[in-house]
Amino acid sequence: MTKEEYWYWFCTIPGFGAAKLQTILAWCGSPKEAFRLSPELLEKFPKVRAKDVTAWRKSISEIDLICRQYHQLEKQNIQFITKEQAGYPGRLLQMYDAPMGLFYRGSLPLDDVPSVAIIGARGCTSYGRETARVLGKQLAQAGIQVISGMALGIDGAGQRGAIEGGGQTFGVLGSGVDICYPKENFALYCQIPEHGGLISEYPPGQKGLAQLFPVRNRIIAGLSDCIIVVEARKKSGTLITVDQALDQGKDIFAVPGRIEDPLSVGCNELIRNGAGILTGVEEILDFFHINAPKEMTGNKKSLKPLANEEKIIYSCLSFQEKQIEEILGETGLTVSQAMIALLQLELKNYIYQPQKNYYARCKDG
Amino acid sequence: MFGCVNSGAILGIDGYPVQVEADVCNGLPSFDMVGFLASEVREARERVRTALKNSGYELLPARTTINLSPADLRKEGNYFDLPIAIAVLVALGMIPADAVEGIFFIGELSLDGSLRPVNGMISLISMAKKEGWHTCVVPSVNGKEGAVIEGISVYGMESLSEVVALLTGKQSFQPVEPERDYAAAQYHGELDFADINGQESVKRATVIAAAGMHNILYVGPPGSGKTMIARRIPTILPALTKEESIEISKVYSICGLLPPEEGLVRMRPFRNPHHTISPTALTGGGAVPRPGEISLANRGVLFLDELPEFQKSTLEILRQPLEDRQVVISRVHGTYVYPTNIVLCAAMNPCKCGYYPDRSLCQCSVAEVHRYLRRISQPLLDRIDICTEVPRLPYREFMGEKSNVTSRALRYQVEQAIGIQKERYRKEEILFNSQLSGGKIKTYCPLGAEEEDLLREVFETMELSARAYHKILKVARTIADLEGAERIQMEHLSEAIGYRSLDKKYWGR
Repeated sequence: MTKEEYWYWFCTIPGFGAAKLQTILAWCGSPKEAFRLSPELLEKFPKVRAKDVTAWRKSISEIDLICRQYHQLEKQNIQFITKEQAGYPGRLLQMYDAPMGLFYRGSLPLDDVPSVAIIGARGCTSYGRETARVLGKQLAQAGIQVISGMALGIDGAGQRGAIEGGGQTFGVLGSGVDICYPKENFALYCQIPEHGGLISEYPPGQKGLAQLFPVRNRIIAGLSDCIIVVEARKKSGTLITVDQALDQGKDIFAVPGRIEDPLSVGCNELIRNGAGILTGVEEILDFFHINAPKEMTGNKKSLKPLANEEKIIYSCLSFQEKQIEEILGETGLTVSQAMIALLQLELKNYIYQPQKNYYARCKDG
Repeated sequence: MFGCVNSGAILGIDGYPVQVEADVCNGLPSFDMVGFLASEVREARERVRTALKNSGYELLPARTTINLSPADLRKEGNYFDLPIAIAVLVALGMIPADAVEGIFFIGELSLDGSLRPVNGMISLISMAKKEGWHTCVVPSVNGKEGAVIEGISVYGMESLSEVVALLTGKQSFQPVEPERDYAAAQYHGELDFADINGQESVKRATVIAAAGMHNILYVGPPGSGKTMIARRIPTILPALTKEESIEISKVYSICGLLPPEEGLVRMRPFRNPHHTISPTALTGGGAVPRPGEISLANRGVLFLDELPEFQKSTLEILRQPLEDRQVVISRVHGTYVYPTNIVLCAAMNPCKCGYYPDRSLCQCSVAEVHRYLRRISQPLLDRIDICTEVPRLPYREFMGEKSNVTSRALRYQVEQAIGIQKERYRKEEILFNSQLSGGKIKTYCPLGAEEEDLLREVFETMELSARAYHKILKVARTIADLEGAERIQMEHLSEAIGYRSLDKKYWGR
């Protein structure tokens, strides 16, 4: 067996997380030595239970199959990199429980390029989604790598924005990289490897289990220099990532919200506890001492080319979506006047419909 | 000693003629009935014999045979008591045989000889007219209903002895007066669109749906007024023509649902079955097929409140009747066709809790929202032309007296638009814009260059389907008709685009 095969085996034993493997590796020196570890000795390691020993023995008995799986990675277009190899993200090496190996499609984040995580609620508001998308886009335009979890809601929106901005984005998955979870994000799943990469510490074929997601969140935190929380409820999975990021000494930025919005309670609480307030991408650019790129300056929308009714409607809209009924009430226009103006504004990209017949201003050009 | 009279029965919603023959001859005394009879028809034997006796006619101890022809169609229902009794009396020579020629008899007898009403009178009398018969003798309760059909005299009789007196000329009777002028009834209930504050866009969508008879879907949180608006649709629907009224009344007559003292249904029906309804109750059927809710709503509105709560199989069954505008029920004994020319009106919440996309109230996960929406299949959604969101109103909006537009004013708009459509489609078989299909859309919904451009741009940016494209055109046509415009213009098209149906892909991305 080659060294790589040993590493592959070492990283794919079910039930052995990064922390346990770390202790074993420190004792044995290399996966090859670990392979010859006697079960009696294995049992003596802290936190190793009888169940783990069985899994360990089973994996050793199936070593042929595991080696074959390793050689299939290439066919699946999946790459495998271990902690020891060059090219392993330097940011992760500073973690005490850095993943032993990473599976990825596409590429890995570069160490000398700033990277930012955009995270938040899955069930977010359309305001949150649009905010995340525009932040992702602007960060990408400024050449910053966007890290996230490819989840529904904020995560996916931020990554979509980054692709739109022509930048690099990396999705850290809680399943194998050959599995698209959630399936609603399939289009994004297909795009990311071409604009960055999909990363996972789990072997291909691993299904997305609930207990794996909090674990992968530490990688999201680990890969980024700072974290942006766009929307989070009071008790949110997002806050787990934030805690892990704080443990790793990363900076947190939170998008403030109205005090009564349940989806801003988490963010506001972070701010009260000392997180940075994020009111625009400029804060992040300042954080990295980057100057705003040209695309981002001076793209204020001009209202000049708009017809009168379009102006009335545009000024009545905000980033928070409004139902057509509300627009009619505020502007006093008839349904058909409003509809024609709304459609024109939408086609000119001034506004968009987060839901059918709900309208909000676009945050960008 | 032979007697023969004309009668009839119902198959589906149409009548068919039945000859009732009686023969009385010497032999062992008996009273036999043949002709593929259901048990309720067979039981007529006892009723007829007793009714004859109690009306003062003595039956001789003789061999009596009754035949209902054609013998290959199963006879069901309570239509044949009177014709059997008359045929026996003709056979006994108590009524001259030529007195019953060209007369159509129908009715159930009670034991004392009085006549009881039967269902389906309008279909039966129109069949009688088609057969070329000149007179109908029916139970007096059914008289008014029967007189709706013009060109045939209808006598409403109280009892068997009255019928005999009529036929033998002992007493003279007047046929039931047909109504001179058909007057479509106006809605005169308590409901009115003026009761609804705000919701202008929803009201507008409702008017468009009524003006073009488009299927409409209301989506909104609980308590936003979806049901309130839907219940007011009958107040703005166009008046019925006599032909439509008769078509509706036929179905109601078969089900025995005609309003008492009224021969006709004069208002467009509005049916709102509860969501626990079974598939059969919706489409019609049963061992003895009866029209279902969808046929009772014929030429009117079928309102399905809480659409996703209906059984999936119940909803899917709607697909074919909505397309074909009729439902065909096949049984061993025959095929029954009921009309289903309806406007489907449905209301639903956007998610299980009802508040999506308001994330401060709705905590449904994205998967839950999707699961809720998936209960309504795409093929069914495709049959809905107009989809409108009903938002929750703030307190100040829905409280207080406001001068809202009344149903009367809205109805006027609807009738104008219907008038334009009637004129436009006078050479076609259709009546309303919603019935346009395929090539006819091109003929009747031409677009100018500017409109064409708009639609192309929208089509590309919003990723619409071909079906959605056609629906937009049809709805735009109705909007143009409401404005009295000859051609579809930009504003009509823009508005129609706003009513396009739910695009699921935008939900909870």
